Amino acid sequence: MTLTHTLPARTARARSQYLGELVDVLRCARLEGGHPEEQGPLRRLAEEAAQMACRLARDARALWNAAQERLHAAAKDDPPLREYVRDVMAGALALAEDALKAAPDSVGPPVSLRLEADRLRQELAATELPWDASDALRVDPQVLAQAQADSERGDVIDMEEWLRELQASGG
Amino acid sequence: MSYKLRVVRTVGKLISAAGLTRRELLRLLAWLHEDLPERADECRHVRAADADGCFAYYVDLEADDGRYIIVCRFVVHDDHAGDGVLVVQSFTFQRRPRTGST
Repeated sequence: MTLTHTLPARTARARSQYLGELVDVLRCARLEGGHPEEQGPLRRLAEEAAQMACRLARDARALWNAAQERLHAAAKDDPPLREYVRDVMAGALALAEDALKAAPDSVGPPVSLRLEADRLRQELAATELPWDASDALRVDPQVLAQAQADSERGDVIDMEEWLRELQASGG
Repeated sequence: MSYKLRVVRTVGKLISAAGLTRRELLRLLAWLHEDLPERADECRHVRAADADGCFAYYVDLEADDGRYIIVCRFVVHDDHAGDGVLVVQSFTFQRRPRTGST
Protein backbone atom coordinates (compact mmCIF):
# COMPACT_ATOMS: atom_id res chain seq x y z
CA MET A 1 0.00 0.00 0.00
CA THR A 2 1.38 3.41 -0.88
CA LEU A 3 1.81 5.78 2.02
CA THR A 4 -0.74 8.23 0.63
CA HIS A 5 -3.49 5.63 1.00
CA THR A 6 -2.80 4.68 4.61
CA LEU A 7 -5.19 5.66 7.38
CA PRO A 8 -2.86 8.31 8.89
CA ALA A 9 -2.48 9.92 5.47
CA ARG A 10 -6.23 10.10 4.96
CA THR A 11 -6.76 11.24 8.54
CA ALA A 12 -4.16 13.98 8.07
CA ARG A 13 -5.98 15.23 4.97
CA ALA A 14 -9.32 15.36 6.82
CA ARG A 15 -7.84 17.04 9.89
CA SER A 16 -5.96 19.50 7.76
CA GLN A 17 -9.15 20.56 5.99
CA TYR A 18 -11.13 20.91 9.21
CA LEU A 19 -8.33 22.77 10.98
CA GLY A 20 -8.04 25.18 8.07
CA GLU A 21 -11.73 26.04 8.50
CA LEU A 22 -11.38 26.45 12.27
CA VAL A 23 -8.39 28.76 11.87
CA ASP A 24 -10.35 30.86 9.35
CA VAL A 25 -13.17 31.33 11.84
CA LEU A 26 -10.73 32.32 14.59
CA ARG A 27 -8.83 34.67 12.31
CA CYS A 28 -12.03 36.43 11.18
CA ALA A 29 -13.21 36.78 14.77
CA ARG A 30 -9.88 38.31 15.67
CA LEU A 31 -10.09 40.81 12.82
CA GLU A 32 -13.64 41.75 13.78
CA GLY A 33 -12.61 42.40 17.34
CA GLY A 34 -15.11 39.95 18.83
CA HIS A 35 -18.10 40.68 21.01
CA PRO A 36 -17.89 40.00 24.74
CA GLU A 37 -20.55 37.29 24.51
CA GLU A 38 -18.45 35.48 21.88
CA GLN A 39 -15.40 35.12 24.09
CA GLY A 40 -16.50 31.81 25.62
CA PRO A 41 -17.32 30.08 22.32
CA LEU A 42 -14.15 31.51 20.76
CA ARG A 43 -12.04 30.20 23.60
CA ARG A 44 -13.52 26.73 23.16
CA LEU A 45 -12.99 26.95 19.43
CA ALA A 46 -9.33 27.93 19.96
CA GLU A 47 -8.89 24.95 22.28
CA GLU A 48 -10.42 22.68 19.65
CA ALA A 49 -8.12 24.14 16.99
CA ALA A 50 -5.07 23.60 19.20
CA GLN A 51 -6.09 20.02 19.89
CA MET A 52 -6.71 19.38 16.20
CA ALA A 53 -3.35 20.94 15.28
CA CYS A 54 -1.58 18.66 17.79
CA ARG A 55 -3.31 15.62 16.31
CA LEU A 56 -2.42 16.68 12.80
CA ALA A 57 1.19 17.19 13.86
CA ARG A 58 1.25 13.66 15.24
CA ASP A 59 -0.28 12.29 12.01
CA ALA A 60 2.44 14.05 10.04
CA ARG A 61 5.18 12.70 12.27
CA ALA A 62 3.72 9.19 12.08
CA LEU A 63 3.84 9.44 8.29
CA TRP A 64 7.45 10.59 8.40
CA ASN A 65 8.31 7.67 10.63
CA ALA A 66 6.56 5.26 8.28
CA ALA A 67 8.42 6.79 5.35
CA GLN A 68 11.71 6.38 7.21
CA GLU A 69 11.01 2.72 7.81
CA ARG A 70 10.38 2.28 4.09
CA LEU A 71 13.54 4.17 3.15
CA HIS A 72 15.54 2.22 5.67
CA ALA A 73 14.17 -1.11 4.39
CA ALA A 74 14.84 -0.18 0.75
CA ALA A 75 18.30 1.21 1.66
CA LYS A 76 17.94 3.98 -0.89
CA ASP A 77 16.49 7.42 -1.19
CA ASP A 78 12.99 7.95 -2.59
CA PRO A 79 12.64 11.69 -3.37
CA PRO A 80 8.90 11.59 -4.29
CA LEU A 81 8.12 9.83 -1.01
CA ARG A 82 10.16 12.37 0.98
CA GLU A 83 8.54 15.20 -0.97
CA TYR A 84 5.07 13.91 -0.16
CA VAL A 85 5.80 13.63 3.56
CA ARG A 86 7.52 16.99 3.51
CA ASP A 87 4.39 18.59 2.05
CA VAL A 88 2.23 17.02 4.75
CA MET A 89 4.63 18.19 7.47
CA ALA A 90 4.96 21.68 6.01
CA GLY A 91 1.15 21.94 5.80
CA ALA A 92 0.75 20.73 9.39
CA LEU A 93 3.40 23.20 10.58
CA ALA A 94 1.79 26.12 8.72
CA LEU A 95 -1.60 25.29 10.24
CA ALA A 96 -0.08 24.89 13.72
CA GLU A 97 1.54 28.31 13.39
CA ASP A 98 -1.74 29.79 12.13
CA ALA A 99 -3.60 28.25 15.06
CA LEU A 100 -1.03 29.75 17.45
CA LYS A 101 -1.43 33.19 15.89
CA ALA A 102 -5.23 33.01 15.71
CA ALA A 103 -5.70 32.07 19.37
CA PRO A 104 -7.66 34.79 21.20
CA ASP A 105 -5.49 36.95 23.48
CA SER A 106 -7.56 35.88 26.48
CA VAL A 107 -6.54 32.24 25.93
CA GLY A 108 -2.96 32.59 24.75
CA PRO A 109 -1.17 29.99 22.64
CA PRO A 110 -1.14 26.56 24.28
CA VAL A 111 2.24 25.18 25.34
CA SER A 112 1.53 21.71 23.95
CA LEU A 113 0.97 23.16 20.48
CA ARG A 114 4.18 25.19 20.65
CA LEU A 115 6.02 21.98 21.51
CA GLU A 116 4.44 20.10 18.61
CA ALA A 117 5.29 22.97 16.25
CA ASP A 118 8.93 22.89 17.41
CA ARG A 119 9.12 19.16 16.78
CA LEU A 120 7.55 19.52 13.35
CA ARG A 121 10.03 22.27 12.47
CA GLN A 122 12.95 20.06 13.46
CA GLU A 123 11.71 17.06 11.53
CA LEU A 124 10.73 19.10 8.52
CA ALA A 125 14.39 20.06 8.25
CA ALA A 126 15.29 16.36 8.28
CA THR A 127 13.00 15.60 5.35
CA GLU A 128 15.00 18.02 3.21
CA LEU A 129 18.11 15.88 3.41
CA PRO A 130 18.56 13.02 0.96
CA TRP A 131 18.27 9.66 2.65
CA ASP A 132 21.74 8.41 3.40
CA ALA A 133 22.02 4.67 2.98
CA SER A 134 25.78 4.72 3.37
CA ASP A 135 27.64 2.34 5.64
CA ALA A 136 28.14 5.14 8.15
CA LEU A 137 24.52 4.84 9.25
CA ARG A 138 24.03 1.13 8.67
CA VAL A 139 23.82 -1.09 11.71
CA ASP A 140 26.30 -3.91 11.79
CA PRO A 141 24.15 -7.09 12.05
CA GLN A 142 26.66 -8.64 14.47
CA VAL A 143 26.49 -5.61 16.73
CA LEU A 144 22.70 -5.71 16.61
CA ALA A 145 22.65 -9.44 17.42
CA GLN A 146 24.92 -8.78 20.40
CA ALA A 147 22.69 -5.91 21.55
CA GLN A 148 19.64 -8.15 21.29
CA ALA A 149 21.37 -10.80 23.38
CA ASP A 150 22.37 -8.15 25.96
CA SER A 151 18.82 -6.88 25.99
CA GLU A 152 17.46 -10.34 26.67
CA ARG A 153 19.97 -10.74 29.52
CA GLY A 154 18.73 -7.45 30.97
CA ASP A 155 22.09 -5.74 30.55
CA VAL A 156 20.50 -2.33 30.07
CA ILE A 157 20.74 1.22 31.39
CA ASP A 158 17.70 3.10 32.65
CA MET A 159 17.53 6.22 30.51
CA GLU A 160 15.87 8.37 33.16
CA GLU A 161 18.61 7.54 35.62
CA TRP A 162 21.34 8.22 33.08
CA LEU A 163 19.84 11.57 32.16
CA ARG A 164 19.47 12.52 35.83
CA GLU A 165 23.10 11.62 36.55
CA LEU A 166 24.31 13.64 33.59
CA GLN A 167 22.25 16.67 34.60
CA ALA A 168 23.52 16.43 38.16
CA SER A 169 27.16 16.16 37.04
CA GLY A 170 27.17 19.87 36.09
CA GLY A 171 29.98 21.12 33.92
CA MET B 1 0.30 4.02 27.01
CA SER B 2 3.40 5.21 28.84
CA TYR B 3 6.79 3.63 28.34
CA LYS B 4 9.99 3.26 30.29
CA LEU B 5 13.10 3.68 28.22
CA ARG B 6 16.15 1.42 28.49
CA VAL B 7 19.35 1.41 26.49
CA VAL B 8 21.43 -1.72 25.99
CA ARG B 9 24.62 -1.11 27.96
CA THR B 10 26.92 -1.60 24.96
CA VAL B 11 24.85 0.95 23.01
CA GLY B 12 25.06 3.32 25.99
CA LYS B 13 28.84 3.00 25.91
CA LEU B 14 28.81 3.71 22.20
CA ILE B 15 26.81 6.89 22.76
CA SER B 16 29.11 7.97 25.60
CA ALA B 17 32.16 7.44 23.39
CA ALA B 18 30.69 9.18 20.36
CA GLY B 19 32.59 12.39 20.96
CA LEU B 20 29.53 14.49 21.72
CA THR B 21 29.90 17.57 23.88
CA ARG B 22 28.05 17.50 27.20
CA ARG B 23 25.40 19.82 25.78
CA GLU B 24 24.92 17.64 22.71
CA LEU B 25 24.75 14.51 24.82
CA LEU B 26 22.14 16.10 27.07
CA ARG B 27 20.10 17.11 24.06
CA LEU B 28 20.35 13.62 22.59
CA LEU B 29 19.40 11.86 25.82
CA ALA B 30 16.51 14.26 26.34
CA TRP B 31 15.31 13.48 22.83
CA LEU B 32 15.55 9.74 23.42
CA HIS B 33 13.90 10.02 26.81
CA GLU B 34 11.05 12.34 25.88
CA ASP B 35 10.39 11.86 22.22
CA LEU B 36 10.88 8.18 21.57
CA PRO B 37 8.28 6.89 24.05
CA GLU B 38 5.78 9.45 22.84
CA ARG B 39 6.14 8.25 19.28
CA ALA B 40 5.83 4.56 19.93
CA ASP B 41 2.05 4.45 19.88
CA GLU B 42 1.51 6.94 17.12
CA CYS B 43 3.83 5.07 14.76
CA ARG B 44 2.92 1.49 15.37
CA HIS B 45 -0.14 1.39 13.15
CA VAL B 46 1.78 2.49 10.06
CA ARG B 47 4.60 0.00 10.35
CA ALA B 48 5.56 -2.19 7.44
CA ALA B 49 4.08 -5.68 7.73
CA ASP B 50 7.48 -7.32 7.45
CA ALA B 51 9.18 -5.14 10.05
CA ASP B 52 11.36 -7.08 12.44
CA GLY B 53 9.98 -5.60 15.64
CA CYS B 54 12.26 -2.60 15.79
CA PHE B 55 11.48 0.95 14.88
CA ALA B 56 14.00 3.03 13.00
CA TYR B 57 14.25 6.77 13.23
CA TYR B 58 16.13 9.21 11.17
CA VAL B 59 16.18 12.53 12.89
CA ASP B 60 17.96 15.76 12.48
CA LEU B 61 19.31 16.82 15.84
CA GLU B 62 20.77 20.27 16.21
CA ALA B 63 24.44 20.05 17.20
CA ASP B 64 26.86 22.73 18.38
CA ASP B 65 28.52 23.02 14.98
CA GLY B 66 26.05 21.38 12.63
CA ARG B 67 23.52 18.59 12.77
CA TYR B 68 23.41 14.98 13.69
CA ILE B 69 21.64 12.46 11.55
CA ILE B 70 20.70 9.58 13.77
CA VAL B 71 19.40 6.11 13.14
CA CYS B 72 18.06 4.52 16.26
CA ARG B 73 16.40 1.13 16.49
CA PHE B 74 14.44 -0.14 19.44
CA VAL B 75 12.02 -2.83 20.48
CA VAL B 76 8.80 -2.42 22.39
CA HIS B 77 7.64 -4.75 25.12
CA ASP B 78 4.00 -4.24 25.99
CA ASP B 79 3.53 -6.94 28.54
CA HIS B 80 5.30 -5.20 31.39
CA ALA B 81 3.04 -4.56 34.36
CA GLY B 82 1.80 -0.99 34.11
CA ASP B 83 4.21 0.63 31.72
CA GLY B 84 5.53 -0.64 28.42
CA VAL B 85 9.27 -0.82 27.92
CA LEU B 86 11.29 0.47 24.99
CA VAL B 87 14.79 -0.88 24.61
CA VAL B 88 17.20 0.96 22.34
CA GLN B 89 19.26 -1.70 20.60
CA SER B 90 21.27 0.26 18.12
CA PHE B 91 22.41 3.76 17.50
CA THR B 92 24.36 5.13 14.57
CA PHE B 93 24.93 8.72 13.73
CA GLN B 94 26.63 11.03 11.34
CA ARG B 95 27.68 14.63 11.90
CA ARG B 96 26.91 17.01 9.07
CA PRO B 97 27.78 20.67 8.67
CA ARG B 98 25.00 23.16 9.06
CA THR B 99 23.51 24.35 5.79
CA GLY B 100 22.10 27.80 5.20
CA SER B 101 18.69 26.63 4.04
CA THR B 102 17.10 25.70 7.35
